[in-house]
Amino acid sequence: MMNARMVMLVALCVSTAECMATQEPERTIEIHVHRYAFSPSEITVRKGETVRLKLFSDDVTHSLLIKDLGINQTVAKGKPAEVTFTPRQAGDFHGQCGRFCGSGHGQMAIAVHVTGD
Amino acid sequence: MRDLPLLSACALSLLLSACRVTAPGRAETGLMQWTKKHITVSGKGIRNPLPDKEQTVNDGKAAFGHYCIVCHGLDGQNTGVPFAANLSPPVPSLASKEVQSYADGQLKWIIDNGIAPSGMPASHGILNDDEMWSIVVYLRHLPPAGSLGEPRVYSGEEDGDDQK
Repeated sequence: MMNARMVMLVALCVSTAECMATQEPERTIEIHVHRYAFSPSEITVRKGETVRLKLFSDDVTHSLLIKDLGINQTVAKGKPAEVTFTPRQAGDFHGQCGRFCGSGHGQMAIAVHVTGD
Repeated sequence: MRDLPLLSACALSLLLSACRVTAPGRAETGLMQWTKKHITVSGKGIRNPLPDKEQTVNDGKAAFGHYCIVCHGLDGQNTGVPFAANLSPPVPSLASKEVQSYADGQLKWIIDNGIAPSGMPASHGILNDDEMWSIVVYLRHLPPAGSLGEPRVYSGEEDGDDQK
């Protein structure tokens, strides 16, 4: 009887942890990527808010790379990609295209503004 | 009549600029290398902001593999680049003492601004700063010459991915 209770308790803990780990995004933001810009090129989110970024490439393969937010998501034309993140710190985070895509690749920039509580 | 020397100089430089490509002599090479290293190439005092670790080397290798390999080969030592020796000046091996003796900041400056007179183009706006700095780290850790094979674009396998 004791063992059965322990098993149930462990199962409850595991399922709770899984639920917390796969937190549902509160908001989805669509970002289109093309040579040589992100659209929109600036987004604002709240600290602690779980956000899903839905990426669409309008031409060739790109990636959204925001090192300080731990984001590096490749997106190919015709294959939308998603990445979910929860910023733990307020501030401005700068991203770029992480996949070489042509002559203006180095100018591609996106800013994520994370507001405080 | 007063402008004759100037006109002559212009005509001479036009003639010289239209000459066929030949390898520069030792004196010209030595003079140009000294001038670049000590006068024209800036950035000597600028430190690489990226850490010298395996991940940075891999990032640099990836950026190099997307862009630089067409002239420098996958290994940075011109392996498989058919015209490397025929440019004037020839494409140097990036593992050579001549290149490795530049400071990190100078190598970044060369990638950013290109270098004249040579075929090295400016990559400002084409690569971002992180990519350029990571390439500098890769240059400090180049693999043995020939160990990565040749760029697929020169081997008839251009449909493949050159990043290995």
